[in-house]
Amino acid sequence: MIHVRELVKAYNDLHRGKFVAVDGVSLHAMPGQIFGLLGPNGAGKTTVLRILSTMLRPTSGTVKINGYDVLTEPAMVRHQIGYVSTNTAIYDRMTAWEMVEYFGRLYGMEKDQLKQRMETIFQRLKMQEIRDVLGAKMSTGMKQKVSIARAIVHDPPVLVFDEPTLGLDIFVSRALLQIISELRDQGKCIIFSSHIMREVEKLCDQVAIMHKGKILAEGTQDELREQYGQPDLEELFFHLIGEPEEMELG
Amino acid sequence: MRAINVKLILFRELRDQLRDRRTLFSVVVLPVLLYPLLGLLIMQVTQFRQQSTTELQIIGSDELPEFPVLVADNSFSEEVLPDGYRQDMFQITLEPKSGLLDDLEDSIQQSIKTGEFGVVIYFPPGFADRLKKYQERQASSSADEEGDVAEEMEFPQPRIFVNLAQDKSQSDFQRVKVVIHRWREKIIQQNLEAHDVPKEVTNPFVVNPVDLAEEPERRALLWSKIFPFIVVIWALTGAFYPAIDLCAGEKERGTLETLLSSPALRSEIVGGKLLAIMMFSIATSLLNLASMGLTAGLVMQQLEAGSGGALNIGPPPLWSIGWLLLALIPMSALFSALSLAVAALARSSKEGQYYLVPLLMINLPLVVLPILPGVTLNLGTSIIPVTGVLLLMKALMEDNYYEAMVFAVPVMAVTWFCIWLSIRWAIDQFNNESVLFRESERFDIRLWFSHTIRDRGPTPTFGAAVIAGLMLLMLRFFIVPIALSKLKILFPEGLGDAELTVMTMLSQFGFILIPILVFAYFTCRSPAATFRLVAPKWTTILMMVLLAIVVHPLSMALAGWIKQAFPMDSATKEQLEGFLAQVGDTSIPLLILLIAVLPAICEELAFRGFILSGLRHMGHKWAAICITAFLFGVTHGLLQQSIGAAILGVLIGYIAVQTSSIFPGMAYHFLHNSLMVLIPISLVLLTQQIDIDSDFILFGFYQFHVDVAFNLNLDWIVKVTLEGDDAGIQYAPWLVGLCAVIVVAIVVWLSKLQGALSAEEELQSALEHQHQH
Repeated sequence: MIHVRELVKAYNDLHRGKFVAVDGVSLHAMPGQIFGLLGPNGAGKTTVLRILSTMLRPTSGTVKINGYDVLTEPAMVRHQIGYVSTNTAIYDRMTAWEMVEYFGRLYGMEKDQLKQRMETIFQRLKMQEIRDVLGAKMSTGMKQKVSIARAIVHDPPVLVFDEPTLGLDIFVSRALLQIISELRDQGKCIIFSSHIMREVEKLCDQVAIMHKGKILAEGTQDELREQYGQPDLEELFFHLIGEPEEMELG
Repeated sequence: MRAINVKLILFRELRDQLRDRRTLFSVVVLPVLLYPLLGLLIMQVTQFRQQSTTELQIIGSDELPEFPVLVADNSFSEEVLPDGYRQDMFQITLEPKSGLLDDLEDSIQQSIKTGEFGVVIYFPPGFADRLKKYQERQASSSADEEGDVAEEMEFPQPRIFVNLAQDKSQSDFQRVKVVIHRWREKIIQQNLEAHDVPKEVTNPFVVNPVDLAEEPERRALLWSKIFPFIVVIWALTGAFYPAIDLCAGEKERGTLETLLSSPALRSEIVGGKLLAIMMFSIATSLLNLASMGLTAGLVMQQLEAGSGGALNIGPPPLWSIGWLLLALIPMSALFSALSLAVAALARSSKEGQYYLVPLLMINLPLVVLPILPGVTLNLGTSIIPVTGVLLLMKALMEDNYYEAMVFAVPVMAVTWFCIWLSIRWAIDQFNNESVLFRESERFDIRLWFSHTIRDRGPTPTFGAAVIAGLMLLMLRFFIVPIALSKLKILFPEGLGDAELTVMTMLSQFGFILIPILVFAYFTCRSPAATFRLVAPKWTTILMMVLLAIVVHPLSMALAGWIKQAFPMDSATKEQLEGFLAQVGDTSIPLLILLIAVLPAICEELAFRGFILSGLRHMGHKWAAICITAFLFGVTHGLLQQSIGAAILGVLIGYIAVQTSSIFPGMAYHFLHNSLMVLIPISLVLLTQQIDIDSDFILFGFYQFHVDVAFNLNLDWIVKVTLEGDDAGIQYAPWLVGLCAVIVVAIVVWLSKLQGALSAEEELQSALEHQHQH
């Protein structure tokens, strides 16, 4: 489903010179699984997910999504995934219905089939009342729902969620996590990044802890606890990357 | 590229923009309201001017003659008022007593300065008496007393005081002048009648211009002059603001990443956005044109009485609207594509706004050029972007269909080429992640410099290649002339025989090779990769020999064509002859060294080595070849030489890319230049009847010693003309055609070679082919 091998992404930066944001990351995620990417800000999670969704090109290494290479077949890769991140906003001057319809059409869906699919999605995500509301007039929670509807409208086998609960209140977060786990139950392959331990603990089948561009540990939660002898994910996390006071701020 | 996606994106962008009040305001409301408002304002001001009263003072009104009457009821008398003037337009304050001007000047100045009067008219003491005497004298005088009459005329003249720096005073003066002029005419008439001379004598005949142009044609011409400004201002701004909103605005609002995560190809996104921007650009221009035309028509109708119909700015005639539209489409397409690429570069709407003025500044000269008198459509002007289209439109409006038909092909080719380049640039911006995701970083020139040197790759970057190209152009056009003038000061008598040698060495080594080598030292790690120092196969070199031979007749034909299409002006000719005179004094081996060996080494290392290697990081082989060739052409200085050199540059660039080595191009360049010298000399020796053991001067400048002569008849292959305007070599058409076929065959052979692609080019070709399977 998602196969990442030895992924490296380096930038040229005036101040830091050559800066390696992602340094030899390998990971594999399967259908019906939620793969959690846990790490502090600046660990390289967003860069990895941007490469998966073909926004960025890898410096070296290979990434295959459902058999398609992100470097040479980006358009096909984009057909396979639904991508929701803090950077994928919705249009202010479009209603929820128009926005989802527009993306459905861009994914090449037929009008009738699209309408049916949208009715189902709007019902399931309880979006009927914001159907004709313009993006500019929606709350953050409503916007996030539209984003998810936009990402799943073409029923992609792979879903990429980059810190989807950022800025949401606890009610909306809870509903959102519920939706994500339902998607997993439908057999989607989901990759989910967060810096909130509880979310990852609750949701993810497979976890990778990322820090400074590298994956420090990877496995199921049980495997990780066993391997490092730590009682929970939070202890394991600090065990791996060091205590907060040792870390640089920012 | 799929049309359905382009259409989807286009409609979304249109709907999005139409829902934005700011766009609607600037595209629709502003033009529709602006011009009528402006028109209303102009009419108000004019009416105010017509209705306002002119207050003036007449000093010495007692001195006025009784007849014709100038003043009546504190205004000018009906008798002297021209048509359209009424008595209530003037309010005259009379000062009956006159005096010496020196005494009155201060008070006159004061009354005009304070605005009490707009105009003051002064009649000197005794004015009426002198006038009367003069008239009586005239009536009784005979022809031989003329001298006295002239003498008598030297009495104090009336004066009109005004302040032309004041608007009110200036417009008052315009009115008063007309009245005084009429009054003066009446006095002349009176004098003539006193002489019994019919008044027609003063006006024996009238010259009336007969305009052969019809009314619509005059209006069409006027519009062809106004149109360019409307195009550049409204088509460009009408494209620019939506472009900023659709690119920088999307980045700012975070929706660009959403769109990029959809399967729409970057080319589809650019296509949809481009069409939307174009529609706004066209709509803005059309609405402005329509609103301006209608307002101008209405205002002119109202003011017709005042101007006598001389200022006719009605709407353009129907048939010319067609040509306007036709010209508007490519202009809008070009401006939209440019705006899109520039807007994609901007991080925020605010940054985007800064780019509008430079864009306008670049286009302004191109728009002004066609309006300048004497600039007409010819091959030279037709290949200038924007200017060519406007000149073509002007020709169509003036009914010069033949001229327009001839140059429509180059104009359209250049315009579409520019549009294509801009679109490619825009697509590249959308593929460039550092442009899409760049965050604001403080620019520090020192850091940038150390970064450039510290992190340099095996070959130079695109930026380094562009800077190197610009550096060579700067050296060529700014430093070389300065160096030449310094050299003249150092050696006032010139360098004699060594001049050509010194100049060539200086320009090839000093201004091309050495700067490039120094630049390369700082910007790339691998000289072998940068300069393509790879040993070629011997078959390739043989191919180059053949290519150089078969290209020669073609380049001679091309040179002839360029000479006809772009005739040299006399100054350029003189300059060239000076150079040729030096060439004529140089021995053949030295000449080959200077014009074939040195350029083949220096220019090839600089252009096909450093610059081409850097430009290939763009990911487009052909764009890199063409830009290199363009720079190579421009450094040749003379337009006539540049065109030939640029075409040659494309060929050598292709050779360098396909063979992955610098040496075949060098070999070709060396042979190409050598043949330019050797073939003409050989042909003269072969075909002309000349004396052995004599000095022969070829084409008026090249002198060489004749050891052998053959006097063969080769007219079926080549015609050698030694003197006259068409002195030179002309190959038989069949030979030129045959050579062209062989050149094509060699190019096909080249295309079969597997030239190494740059990493960016490989990626680009993979991206372009991803939808084919």
